[in-house]
Amino acid sequence: MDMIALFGNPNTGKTSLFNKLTRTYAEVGNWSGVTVEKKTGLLRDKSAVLVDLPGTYSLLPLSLDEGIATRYLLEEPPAALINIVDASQLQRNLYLTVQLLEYGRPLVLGLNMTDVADATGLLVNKELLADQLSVPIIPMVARTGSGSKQMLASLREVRRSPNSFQLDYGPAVEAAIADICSLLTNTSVPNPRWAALQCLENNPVVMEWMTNEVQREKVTDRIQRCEKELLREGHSATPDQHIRSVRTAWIADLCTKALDTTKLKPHSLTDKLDALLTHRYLGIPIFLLLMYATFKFTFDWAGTVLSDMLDGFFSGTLSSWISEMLVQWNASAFTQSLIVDGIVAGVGGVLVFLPQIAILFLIISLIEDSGYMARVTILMDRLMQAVGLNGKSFIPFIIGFGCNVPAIMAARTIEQPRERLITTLLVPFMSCSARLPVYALFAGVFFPTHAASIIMLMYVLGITVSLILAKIFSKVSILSGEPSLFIVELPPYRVPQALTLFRSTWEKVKGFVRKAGTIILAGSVGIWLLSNFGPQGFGAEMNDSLLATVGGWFAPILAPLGFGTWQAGASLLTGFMAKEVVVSTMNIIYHVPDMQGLEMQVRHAFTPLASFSFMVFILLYVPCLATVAVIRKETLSWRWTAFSVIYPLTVAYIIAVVIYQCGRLLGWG
Amino acid sequence: MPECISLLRTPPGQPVRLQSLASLHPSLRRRLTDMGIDEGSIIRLKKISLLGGPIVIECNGQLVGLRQNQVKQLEVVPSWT
Repeated sequence: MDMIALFGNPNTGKTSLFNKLTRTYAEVGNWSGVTVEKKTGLLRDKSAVLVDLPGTYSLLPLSLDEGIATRYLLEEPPAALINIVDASQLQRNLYLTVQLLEYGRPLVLGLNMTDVADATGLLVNKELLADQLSVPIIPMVARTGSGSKQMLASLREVRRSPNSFQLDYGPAVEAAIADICSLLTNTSVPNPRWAALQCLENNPVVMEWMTNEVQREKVTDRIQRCEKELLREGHSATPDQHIRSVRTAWIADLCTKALDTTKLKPHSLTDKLDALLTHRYLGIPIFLLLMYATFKFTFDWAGTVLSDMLDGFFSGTLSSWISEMLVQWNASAFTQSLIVDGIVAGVGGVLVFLPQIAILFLIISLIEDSGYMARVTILMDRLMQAVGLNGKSFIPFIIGFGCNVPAIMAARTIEQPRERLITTLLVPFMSCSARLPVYALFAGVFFPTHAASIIMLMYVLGITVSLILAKIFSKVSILSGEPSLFIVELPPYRVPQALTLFRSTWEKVKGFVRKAGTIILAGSVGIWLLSNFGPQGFGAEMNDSLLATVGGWFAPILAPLGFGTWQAGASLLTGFMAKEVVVSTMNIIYHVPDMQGLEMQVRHAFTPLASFSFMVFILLYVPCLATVAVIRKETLSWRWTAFSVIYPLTVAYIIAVVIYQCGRLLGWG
Repeated sequence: MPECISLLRTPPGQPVRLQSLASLHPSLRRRLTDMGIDEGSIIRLKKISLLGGPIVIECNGQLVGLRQNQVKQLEVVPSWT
């Protein structure tokens, strides 16, 4: 089946358009604003497969993310291209358009955000633009879906007609293009002229793609000759600069003809909001206040009430209904216990935290969609620079509050490899939603009047620890070097659409529910089995069970932290699968029917100081299995992966010991 | 010929013409030119953060955040001359 590729600058609405053109919507791994890898979906008319690529300003990549788009064009030439451009930023967007037109495949230009352009008084002469670029232009508003039908129709029509767009780069470059074209024989690229131009632009991805050493050398030689010829012609520019200036001059000329900016009005909403939200003095306090409000809302006001309702349902209605059913069916005691004490207690014990997690995800989506996220990088850059990182590292950190896995993938937008690696190693200290059930349980039991503050303290502690470690890492020789750079585009503020928010929240919640149905279910069954299996076989007393034995091995090591029980050891061990399993494990091993029962048991087993030390240990100790897997995938190194497991354990142990022992000295024990 | 001054020394909100990007880090320069911010562009200093934090510039309706120490050498001339 034909492949159609979707290209565009960042923040132009590619993913919105992708969702409208295909029946699927944003899969896991795509967090609004960050298409981390190319993503495919079947077009609504089933005529082709659409590929959504990460946003790029040009085909010349600066970050890891941007290389994906270029590599895709080289390795899997698509049948046609869609280039979505932001109507209000046409001049900038057309640079990528020119590079894509040179690729030679049929192209449809989606002129997006025409509503924004109209509102600001920008007039675009679409006929002239279509005529000059010789491609169809579809005006659209991708967020509402307007124009997507016309886009589908246009795609069907245009697919068989390659475009023959060509700019004249002057004799020196044209001669070089011709020579390089003749060197680039037997390639799959539809238009050798495009590949030749990319070589002349010094595109590292294209240069790497030539596997033949001899060929690459010849091409490099030819580029150097071209540079000399350009000098002889009287241009002081290198070939790449020359090509760029020819393109930008052509685009500027086109824009003066096709754009009427005389009625343009400034973007006053963004100006007004920025005056407050990125204020010199108030910006950071406002950000902290918003974060505090988020926690207050999630834990004190809305989330807890809903969680209590769910708990009533799981441990009361559902549990007794299932018990009755099992009795009616004459299920064995084994089956009854497995289902009620194992599965319902384990999985249900985690699912009760769903409302709080959903609210947290909703707020993260809101921050991403509104355009505030980029502002946060500005507010935080000074602080991040002080520890050797970059304001952009703060985006993975915030996403990490939801889940560490996509957060680590979001680190790809950071340009420098060193800063990207350090960010990847530090994201696991961001307290993800899976750790929330543990805090909610312990803070609720021991610090009922200050639950939100204690939980927020955990998040702040995670950030503090990672900042201190960042400072240490950037002093370590293998991780130092490379000057730090920072450049970020601040998109205009947008009112997030309810549907988009609902969808992206749902996507994230679905991931949590899926985890409850797989890892946590399997974990619960496993823990229940281990807790019932002892030296004498099945049906052992809990305290003689296999789980107690294994957990007991860790108890002495954990004693200095304040929780030297086999139960704590066992739940920490199982927590490596997924942090939610810590609570599932406790539900099963304390053998309690509901939250109240668990709270009683926990109150008995921990002191307030020990519970605090336990929360800190849970926050820091090891990334979960899925996070370790993604660290391996992103760093491509087993050494860094092993490091990312071992050093947090050490850090967690040291900090928890210090907290517990100091607390005891101060008489809080 | 009007004199070039550092962008940081211009009054916020005042349109100025970008004279030279030559002293910028190559990657940064590339990213700016990718965004259509190049020699000759009319830019505006929007905002300076505290303690030497990033600055925000505006060009063609787009807002870009950059670090002060990186843009110190951005040479501009007042566009009304």
